[in-house]
Amino acid sequence: MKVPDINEYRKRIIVVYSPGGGNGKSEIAANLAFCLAAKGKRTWLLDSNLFAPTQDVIFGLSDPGPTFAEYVATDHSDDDIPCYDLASKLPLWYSDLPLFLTPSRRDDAIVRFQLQERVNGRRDVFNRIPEVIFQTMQHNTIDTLIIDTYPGFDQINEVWLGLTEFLLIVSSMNDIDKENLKVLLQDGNVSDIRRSLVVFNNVQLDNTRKVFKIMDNHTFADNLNTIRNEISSMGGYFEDDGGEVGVVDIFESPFLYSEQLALYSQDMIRNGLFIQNEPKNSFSQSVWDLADYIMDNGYLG
Amino acid sequence: MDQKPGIIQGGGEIDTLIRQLEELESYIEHSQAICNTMFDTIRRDCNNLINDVKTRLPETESHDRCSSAIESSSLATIPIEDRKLQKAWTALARYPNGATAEDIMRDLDRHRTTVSTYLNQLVLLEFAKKERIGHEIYYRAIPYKEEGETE
Repeated sequence: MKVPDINEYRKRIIVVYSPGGGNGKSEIAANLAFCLAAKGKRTWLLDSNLFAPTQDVIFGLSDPGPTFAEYVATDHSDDDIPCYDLASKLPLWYSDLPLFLTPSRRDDAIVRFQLQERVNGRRDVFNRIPEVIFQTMQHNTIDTLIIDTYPGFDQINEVWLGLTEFLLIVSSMNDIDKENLKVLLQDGNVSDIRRSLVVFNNVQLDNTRKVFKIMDNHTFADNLNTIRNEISSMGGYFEDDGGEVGVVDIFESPFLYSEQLALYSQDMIRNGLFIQNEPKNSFSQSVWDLADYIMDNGYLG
Repeated sequence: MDQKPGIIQGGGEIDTLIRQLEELESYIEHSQAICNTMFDTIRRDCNNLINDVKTRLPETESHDRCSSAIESSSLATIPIEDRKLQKAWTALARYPNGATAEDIMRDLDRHRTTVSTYLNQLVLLEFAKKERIGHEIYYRAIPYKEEGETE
């Protein structure tokens, strides 16, 4: 396959990453995909979580089809990464949105570990991922590709870090994540990336994907200022060899817990907020603002 | 009245001690700020020195695959904004007979699969060639020529 100008495609990839697990990365990725699609970008969301994919749950898909893990582990990797028109699966009120999704499916643990063994033995597949990604973007005329990563499988994440020019880092405000974030930002594999945008999330989900807050919003806002100053003061450390390195930016608007969000989640298993037609709370507004910020500040080339 | 060791008598004395401690704390913070500035300067100087040594290395050190690296004039740049791909290409160009992802991984101090992704993108952009020799995949930089530039 010949990709005519991959530079154009490279700039349309957003890798959603986090210093730890369970801090709302998939939720933000899904809702961001929705918002960008709603703003007219033909958006494709790739759930690269090999072990516990969640995008099918967030989007409420009952028959999501082959997973990314299955795709990587089989011999069909010259094909496009599987995607389908999600619009046909969604409620009518946004059925005309050009949103595409790579489906995922929960397998039992044994199957997943067998899959991990197979994936580990397929270095050739990792070598081909850039080409297949660009090919898929070209074939499907994708404006924006959002890759929802999984922190537990390094090899796949190393591919995404090597591929993207824009890293969206989702962190919660607990001490462990804050320290992990500082370490992450000083990692050469991350600081090589042209632009990184850090967002802080004060919403966590329990095992049934119901929302609960980590700390009160006032304390969270104070902590946000502190961590912002700390990251700014770390700026010098990003100069790895005397030259320029990637720019790290912090998204001003925190992703905050709201009573409305809590009330909403009491009654039902909460999936994506926009996806479940719940756009009028602070969390949803933050995602919407984030989509604007990304589009207005040239993050997508 | 005898004063027991370790017990401070009277509120005034405690206030004095608190003031002294606060002054001491402020002095520590001030000294810490000065140290941080000094450390920054030292670190920057070290970085400059390291870069200086790094740029001299190819001239002074022979390397199996580096002996006839692409001329430094050609090393300067390839027309791509992405700095990480630039760095990968520059590292690769030091190996005229080709290098594996492991070689470049060591040179750049980056993850193996990340480096491999850089190199495969350089291949797609036609700034590098890729060939399999035995079990190993070798990458080789293609010297960039401006339009109109001849051999």
